[in-house]
Amino acid sequence: MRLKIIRKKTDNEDLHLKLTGEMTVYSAVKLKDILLNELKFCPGLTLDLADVDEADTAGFQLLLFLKREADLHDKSFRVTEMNSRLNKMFTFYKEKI
Amino acid sequence: MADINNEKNFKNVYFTESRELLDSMEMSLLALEKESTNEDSINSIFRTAHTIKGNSGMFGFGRIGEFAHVLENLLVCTRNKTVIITPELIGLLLECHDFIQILLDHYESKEELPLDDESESLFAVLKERLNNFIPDAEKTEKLKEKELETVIELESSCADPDEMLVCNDCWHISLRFGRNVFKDGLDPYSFISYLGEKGEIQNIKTVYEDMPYGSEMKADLCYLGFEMDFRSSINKKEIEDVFDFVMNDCNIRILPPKSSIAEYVKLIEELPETPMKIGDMLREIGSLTDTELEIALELQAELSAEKKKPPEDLLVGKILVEEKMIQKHILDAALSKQENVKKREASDRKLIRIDAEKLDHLINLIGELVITGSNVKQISESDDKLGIAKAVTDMSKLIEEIRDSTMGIRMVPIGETFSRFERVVRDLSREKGKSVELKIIGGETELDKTLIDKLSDPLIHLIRNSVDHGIGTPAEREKAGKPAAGILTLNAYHETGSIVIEVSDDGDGLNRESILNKAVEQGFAKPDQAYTDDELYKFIFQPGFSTAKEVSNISGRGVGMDVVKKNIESLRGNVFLESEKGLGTTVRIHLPLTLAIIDGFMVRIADSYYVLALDMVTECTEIRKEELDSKEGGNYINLRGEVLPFMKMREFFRESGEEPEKPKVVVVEYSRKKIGLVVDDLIGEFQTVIKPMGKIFSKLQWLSGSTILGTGEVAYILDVPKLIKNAHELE
Repeated sequence: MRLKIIRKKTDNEDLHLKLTGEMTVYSAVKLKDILLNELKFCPGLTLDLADVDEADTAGFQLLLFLKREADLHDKSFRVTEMNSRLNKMFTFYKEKI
Repeated sequence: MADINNEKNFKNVYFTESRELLDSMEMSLLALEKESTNEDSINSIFRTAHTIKGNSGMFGFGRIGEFAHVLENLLVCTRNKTVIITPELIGLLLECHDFIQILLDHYESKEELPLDDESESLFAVLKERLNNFIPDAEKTEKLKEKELETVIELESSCADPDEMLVCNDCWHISLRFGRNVFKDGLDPYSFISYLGEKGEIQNIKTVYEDMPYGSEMKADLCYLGFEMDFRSSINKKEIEDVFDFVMNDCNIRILPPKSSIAEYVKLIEELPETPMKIGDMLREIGSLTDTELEIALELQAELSAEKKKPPEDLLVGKILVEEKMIQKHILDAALSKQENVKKREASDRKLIRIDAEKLDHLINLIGELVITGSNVKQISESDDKLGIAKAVTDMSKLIEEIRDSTMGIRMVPIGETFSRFERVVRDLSREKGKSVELKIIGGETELDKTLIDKLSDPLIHLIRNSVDHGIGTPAEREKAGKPAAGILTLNAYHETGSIVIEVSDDGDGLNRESILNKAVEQGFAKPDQAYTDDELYKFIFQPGFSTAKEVSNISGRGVGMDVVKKNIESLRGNVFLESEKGLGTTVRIHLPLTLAIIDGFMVRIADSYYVLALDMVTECTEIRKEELDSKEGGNYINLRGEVLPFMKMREFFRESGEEPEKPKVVVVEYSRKKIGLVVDDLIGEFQTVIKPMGKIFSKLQWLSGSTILGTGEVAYILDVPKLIKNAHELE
């Protein structure tokens, strides 16, 4: 499992995370635990997914899940950059984050 | 469904039985009329009314029971001799008999519908008249009030949710992936994008309502589903195939585009008229795939286990719609198709009564066949060639016997039908002030049951004609030196390949002049032309022809002989008229022996094989080619001094190729007319199972069916009566 998360704090107190590696079924469980945990203790989450080099529908599902959790707890959830693979998938499924 | 069928069956038995009871009641009444103190007859009539009353109550035909009850009250009095049998009473009882028949017809065809006004008023009138016969002291208390009918509302069909799901020319595909899809290493994306290559995904929506919140959600499980509109020319099966790999892990529903719904409905309508299960029907037209059907059937089994109901109660069709495998429109079309087929089946499925002896005989034969069969099997394992041949001969002999007796089961003696006409003759002769005696000859002649049923109406018509026009009043008859009572004879017998039924009277015969005058008047004939008897009689069969001076309620309206002729011809029969002035008229009906299995005679014409009914073949002979060709002025040969018209079948079927040196002639006869058929070769006797021609070939004139030879080749069955008719018309 190749996964790296870089934490950055931004001006508006949102937590900014940059993900590298894979966003697949293999990393999904771990990634979900981390990201859900992070979401709990910050007002909002911004993800940079430009360097995610592999993604599948499990990753797509995870993003949908996080968005729903954020909405549920009135927090912001944004994705600034997306790698081409993920982008294609979102376009294909006609979903937006 | 099974229950409904059972109930239907019971009702059928009720109707059949009631009709039989009525028949015997009619006989008893007629017997009673001749001998008014016959206690057996009185008792039998009483029993009839009583049984009908009981049965009607049981099957929920309260009105029939109500009527029979009043009838029974009166009959009790006749049994106790408090009411004396008079001709007037018998007349009334006969009317009641007819009315019960009307009631039966009504409830059989219209079931729950209430009676029409006419029947209602007749009901009241007859009841009143019956009650008037009953002495006051015997009058029983009033009948109970009619029970209020309860209307059971059928489950209303639910609103149509499919409407919203379908955009006009797109398939609607609904996917729900199983939880373990990701773990199994499958990615829905790859399937859906593969589908995208097969057509155009117009719309897609991800659904994940089932996804749990917070820590409950397991990120390696799949909670996703997709709803999409897909535009493509591929069919349902092909769409399903795309998801073949995930099939076990995925719930997929494919709804066809609106445009193809219409197509499916059309396809359903075009399905053959054979009983089919809903699932099979939908699969046949491609609206349901094998996999879907399997799933639905599994669901049905599951549900039935859950609800402890037999699986038949949970309709597959309903499950299919609920599971969104098909749209309701399609199901409705399939259901109505199924209903139609069932209805047709039910109307075809009539009960017939079989002589127990015939059945025993058949069962005996089958038993022997089983023994011979195992004998053949045993011997065939050995090398005993002679033994095998013998056993096989035995077996085919048995099969032939079984065939004959099976066919015999459908055969019913016509006498039963004949004796039913006794009433018709009685009523008519009374009305006309004539005295007519019905004589029945050959009542034991057996005919196919369905044929008999269809003959009944034409025969009644002919009988009416004879009584009305043929036989004169006693005074007229005595003047002509005949006994006062006229004789109407019904005669049935077998003749080569056909059954003949004659209706003859000893009246004045047909009046040539008045037929000719009428024919001229109505524009069928020219006044100055000389007509032979046969030509003249043909006018009688013209629609609208009538010679009766006044129109009576029995005959003379000119709707008649043409209908008789048409009816008989629809049974592939012929009608002939014979009449001698002063001696009487005979109407002869020829009917072919229509059986599903016939003894055939096979011939070859060019490269095709044809089968003739052996019954109609009288002889075979050989002839030189020159003899056929050298004829001048018509196709006739000399058969032992007899002029025989012939047809060259080779030319008739427009076969090309070399003619044989010595063509063979098969002489066939039907309704007393003979022709010779010139064929290439005679093959010989051949037991044939007639297979009806498909609908497309129904217009083919000279073939009445086909059969399959032992070699698997197809042979056609020649329609001999038609060929004979054709040859004689060419004259």
